[in-house]
Amino acid sequence: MEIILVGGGKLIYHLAKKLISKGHFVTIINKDRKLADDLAREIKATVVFGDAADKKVLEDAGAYKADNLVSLTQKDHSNLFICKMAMDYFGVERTTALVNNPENEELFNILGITGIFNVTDLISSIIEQSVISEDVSNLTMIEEGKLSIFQVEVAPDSAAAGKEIKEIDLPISIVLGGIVRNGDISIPRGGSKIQAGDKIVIISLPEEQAEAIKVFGGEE
Amino acid sequence: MFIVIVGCGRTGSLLAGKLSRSGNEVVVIEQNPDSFALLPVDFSGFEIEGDAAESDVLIEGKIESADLLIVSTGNDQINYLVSQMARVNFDVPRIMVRTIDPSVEKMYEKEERFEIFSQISLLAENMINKIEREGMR
Repeated sequence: MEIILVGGGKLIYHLAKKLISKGHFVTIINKDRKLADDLAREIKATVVFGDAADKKVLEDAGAYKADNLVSLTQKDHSNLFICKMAMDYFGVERTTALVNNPENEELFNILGITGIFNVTDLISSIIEQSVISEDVSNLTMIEEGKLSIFQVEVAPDSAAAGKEIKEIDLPISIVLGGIVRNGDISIPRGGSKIQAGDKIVIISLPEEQAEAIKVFGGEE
Repeated sequence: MFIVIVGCGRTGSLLAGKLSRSGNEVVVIEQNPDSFALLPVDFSGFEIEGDAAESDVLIEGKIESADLLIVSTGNDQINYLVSQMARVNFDVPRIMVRTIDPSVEKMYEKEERFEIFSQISLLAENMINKIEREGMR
């Protein structure tokens, strides 16, 4: 895929590296001269120096042949504007925007932005989980948080410790993806026994996350 | 008519003064409080200090009951976001938008509710009209 990334900083750097390693063609647009130079030196991507809200800069970056434009600036009005410009002027089919003000998520969705990352909600939900239990870590969210993958450490007093998976009372929509024990990973089967100290990788709907944490993490 | 104006720069303040003088109810929203000084002394509308890209600020300006919204900040990106918020979230019946870069006009085309005023295009048109008219003399 041809992907245009707009913005700068650490996030762009790591994102670009990952996308390139997966075989995508990445172009980065940055309006800070120094950051643009640094990125050009460190990453095997085309780097365009300029303001992505300028039609000519988008054109220079090859927007007419891009499959996806990702706008990750700190300003919602810039992210919306850049994504819409890519869609309306260059026919870019998929656009992804960072939303800093959660109130804008719905508006961006209605306006046709295909991928929306609501930073504030994502970060607050991760912090919320780490406050609820230190033994839970969120691995990732899929489809803007509609599915979460996370890891729970089995507490000695949990209902699951010492039991086989088939004996544990779990909602049907909670899927166990892996058991990490002493650094080794095994794929859980009905007969796998859970021990205290195991880390269980769980895939569930966000609303059932609390239930899963209760079963494996023990009493609050 | 009840009119909400976003941006109290030279354009916004001039519009606010004239529209309020001609009997309209006017609310002006502006982030920089110093800019309200541009309003004429006889301005009888309301001044709201705040970021119009925040829903709460628009609500404070009673955007839901506006007959007309004029978006006139000096930033095309903010103007775009505010106009779309007004259309989608608050269903404002008529939205006039000032654009700085003429190439931005096309982004508003799909929606009938938007009326676009590009200062550069307007200026150029005016000049061309005058030149052509004088050429006939």
